Amino acid sequence: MKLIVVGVDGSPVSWRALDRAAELAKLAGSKLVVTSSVPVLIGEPFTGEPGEELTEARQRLQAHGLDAELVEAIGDPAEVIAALAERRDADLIVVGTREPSLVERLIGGSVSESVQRKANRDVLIVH
Amino acid sequence: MKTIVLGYDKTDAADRALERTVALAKAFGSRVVVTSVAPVLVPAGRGIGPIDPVDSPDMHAEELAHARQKLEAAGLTATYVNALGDPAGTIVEVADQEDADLIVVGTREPGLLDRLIGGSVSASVSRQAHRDVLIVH
Repeated sequence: MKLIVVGVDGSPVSWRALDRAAELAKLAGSKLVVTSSVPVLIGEPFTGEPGEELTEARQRLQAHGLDAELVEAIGDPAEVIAALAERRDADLIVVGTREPSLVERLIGGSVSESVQRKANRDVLIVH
Repeated sequence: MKTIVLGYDKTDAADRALERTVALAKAFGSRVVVTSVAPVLVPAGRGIGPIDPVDSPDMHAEELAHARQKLEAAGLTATYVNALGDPAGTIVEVADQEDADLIVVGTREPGLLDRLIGGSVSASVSRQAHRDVLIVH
């Protein structure tokens, strides 16, 4: 397992996903790529600089003694994660999920499910 | 990661899921529970019982034997559960009974129809389980 892509959004479950990815990366000696995406950008121009979530992700990984590449992105989170995983030929994608509500299920609003459909890769869904 | 539940059905994706399970179980020293679920049909009409003749419990017992061979070749002992029911729901139930830390399932690319009727077992497992799920392509 050479490369693991993790999607974070600042939610508690996404930090659990990051922890799981860190455990696996330590065991397998994998490189970590962490991404966070803003669905729509309002106001300031996109700089590609790591935002709040990615800065926190870096701090959390430092506690594990790990370094990661941070990719700040714009767009639909599921698309961004799946496209990044394809581009970098990732061996595993790790994302958190919360319990989707009925409406979310009907409109297909779950990012984790959408990632799983879009990406032709292994996906670890963390609860 | 103390306990891993693997949903197995002898497809290529399930074999890859088995390989992933072996790697994780060895790395974490986890206990492995393998289950293969024969689906139950809604009985339809005279003479047709709830057991699907082309996907019977016997075939799933065979699948488990196949999984056992592979796991033993990898030097792992595991518990094998031959189950009957809705595949996704039953895998989640087994995981609950075993208090699993992780469920591993293989997936094939779902067709449009599968998606519309929600026929993907892996997606259904990840919706129903309150546990971590590794979906292997």
